[in-house]
Amino acid sequence: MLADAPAVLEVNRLGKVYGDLRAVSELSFSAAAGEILGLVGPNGAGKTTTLRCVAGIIPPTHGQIAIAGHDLHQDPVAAKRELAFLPDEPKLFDYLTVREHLNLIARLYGVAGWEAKADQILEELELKGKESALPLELSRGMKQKLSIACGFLHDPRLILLDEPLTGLDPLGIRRMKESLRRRAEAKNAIVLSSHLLPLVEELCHRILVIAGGRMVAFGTIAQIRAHLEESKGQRVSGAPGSLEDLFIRITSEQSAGTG
Amino acid sequence: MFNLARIAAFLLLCGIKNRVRRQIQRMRQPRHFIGMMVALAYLWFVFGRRALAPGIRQSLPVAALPVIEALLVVSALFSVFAAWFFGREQPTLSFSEAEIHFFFPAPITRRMLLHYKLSKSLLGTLLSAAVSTAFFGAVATGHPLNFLLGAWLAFFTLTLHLTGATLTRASLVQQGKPGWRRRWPAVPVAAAVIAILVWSGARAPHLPPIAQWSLDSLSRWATDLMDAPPLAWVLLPIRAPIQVAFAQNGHALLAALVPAVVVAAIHYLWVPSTQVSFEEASLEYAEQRARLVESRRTQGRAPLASGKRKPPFALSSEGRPEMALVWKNVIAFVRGGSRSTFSAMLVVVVLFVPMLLKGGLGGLWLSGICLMLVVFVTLLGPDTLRVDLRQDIRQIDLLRSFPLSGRRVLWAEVLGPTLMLGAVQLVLLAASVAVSASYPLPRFRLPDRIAVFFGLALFLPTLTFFNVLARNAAVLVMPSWMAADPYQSRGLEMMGQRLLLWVANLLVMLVAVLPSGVVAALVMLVFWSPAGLFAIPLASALATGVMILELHLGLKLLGQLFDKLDATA
Repeated sequence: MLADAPAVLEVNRLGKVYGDLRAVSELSFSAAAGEILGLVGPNGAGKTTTLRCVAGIIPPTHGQIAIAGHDLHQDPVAAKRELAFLPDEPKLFDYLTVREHLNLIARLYGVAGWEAKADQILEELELKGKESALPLELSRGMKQKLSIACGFLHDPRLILLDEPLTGLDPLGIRRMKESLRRRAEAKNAIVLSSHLLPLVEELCHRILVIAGGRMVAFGTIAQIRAHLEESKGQRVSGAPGSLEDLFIRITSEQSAGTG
Repeated sequence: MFNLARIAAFLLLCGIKNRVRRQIQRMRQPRHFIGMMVALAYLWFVFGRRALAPGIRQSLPVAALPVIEALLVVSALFSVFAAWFFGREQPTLSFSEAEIHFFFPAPITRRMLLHYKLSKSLLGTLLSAAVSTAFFGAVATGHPLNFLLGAWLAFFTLTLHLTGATLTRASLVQQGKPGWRRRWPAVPVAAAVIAILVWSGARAPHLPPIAQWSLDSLSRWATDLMDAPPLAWVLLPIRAPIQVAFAQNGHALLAALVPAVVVAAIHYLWVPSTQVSFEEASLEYAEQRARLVESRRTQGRAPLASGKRKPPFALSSEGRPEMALVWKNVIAFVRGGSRSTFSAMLVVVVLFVPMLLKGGLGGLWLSGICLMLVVFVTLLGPDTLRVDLRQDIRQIDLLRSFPLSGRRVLWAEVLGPTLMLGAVQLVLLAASVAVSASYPLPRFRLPDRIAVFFGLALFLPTLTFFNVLARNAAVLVMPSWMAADPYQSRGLEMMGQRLLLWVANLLVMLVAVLPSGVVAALVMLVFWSPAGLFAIPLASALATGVMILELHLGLKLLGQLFDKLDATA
């Protein structure tokens, strides 16, 4: 089903350099409508830099990014209108209440009838009754939920999430997972970066493993395992082999290769 | 106890050492190096040149010292009374979150923790005294070492007293004493001190009439008042360290040093003897401070208190999206600290207006004051009202993710403060004309005033937009100079960088105003003889037009800069 779906995100030879540091190098991947793509890698692999480049927050050094057919460099406003970026640390204005944050987003993205939609999202994220609260009156988890609510309000076709479950309680995590699945079923593309490998394995259709800013594996878990067996000519330890096993194997080989 | 004192010294010295090392490392970056050079040059010209000149000369006459001493005594008395009567009822000892994390669960007694805190105060007040001596004491008294010693004793004793007062009050709260009973130990003492003050005041020579006020007469009066017993005995604990600081010879130093040290030692013994549980309140206080630091780091401001929640106006979801940023910034103003600055200005105006009218000074004075306020708002407003990109630079990730071009973001960010300042300018200008309307001035008739009003009403808001834009441009052109992190925004090099930014902003404004000024001058030259002051609105309109062109160009260039800004670089 996903193979035939149109690509919402297309990244071609993305690169980002900071001085002498090559944070991301020659990274190409895509995410189709209805797909949840997992972005995994060790600390400092370039996951957040990749997401921030795709979100248009930092300019890439080279490469092309297209979101729902809009080139991010040529037409950044149209491209950004189609996406939502949810950082690991919620970015909020401390002088706006919960509802005012949603009002701000409604105007920025031109969301007609936003009030009803906001009520529904607040209900879904258990923020009902907190509409008049300022961010400093919210717990870490609630701030994260507010950030998520702002991201969902304008029905983005591409949702970028950096460690989306940080600070959420078990019920919040379950609801968030259901919410992401529902949005994927509604033909939105989701790119999710996380160190929680069981979560990635549970939710994601395909996985992009990066290390040292480079792609080291891309595909479904089965495809990645088959690729590893094929290239090494041996069976990957652990049967049937979890994402954690694969991740440790891939990244340790990568660090041994670069070390 | 001994170990914790050493730990306090170790932490302080490590902190200083690491800070100095970090600052030296930062000197490798040209902007920090230049900033440091500028700050050192500034400090040298303002303070150092005199202080470090061979043979320190006293810049204050000796006769001024008793007057200063009297003022210091009054302020110390005020602090002491305030601590006993209006101080917090929770034993708020200031520990950092790290200190709480490491020391509170450590196997040490509460008394040892207090000694640690006092040891830290001892070292902290020494640093404060050294700074006071460098900036004031050395040149004010001519005896920097005496001043250093006296200031140290004064700061330390006062800190101990305020801490002791807080702990004693908290101890009474913990013992379940109701409000008035918590204050009773202080009441007789305060009553006795006040009685002695009044009695001594009545017995002392009368304050000379204002016409006869001179430094000598005031100095003599202050000395006679404070030296007369029993007031002299009451004030001894407060005056002794001050007299050490102001001592002009060895005899005066010794005479004051002995009682000052005894008073400090008594306080040092008294404070740890208060048996009060301060841990919970200290933890809460540390968390409050941590929230403040975090809020300043992420938002560039102190956290807002709970309060008004209604937005100033409703925001529809239709229309130009960038207006959402204007709306957001107006809310930031309404709920933020800038509002208190403006409220304070309003209070001053409200207090002064009736005084002026009552004093027979009338509407002309009021008109003049309104015009002066217009000048203040125009010059200082853009620095005071920072609800724009200067505040939002800490949220640059969020701004960059919005579906808006850089030009639109910048336009909206600058428009918010401009609208607010422009409204104040127009109201003040209109008030200035209105209150002076009934006053006939042969050379400046009402129609002339109205013409000038229209001229200024056109030009000043545009100038303000440019002024705010110039300050926002600094954020984009030199983002690293506009330090977002409070730990980076301290130090001499940052002070130097701010001075440079201020000068650069002034230059930009002068260059920007030049074309408008030339156009306005040409119009006035041509139309002055036929139209007189009525040429002003025309000159202003054309000057405004030129400035709008400059603004258009500036927004375009800066918008491109915003689009290319690498927030992580």
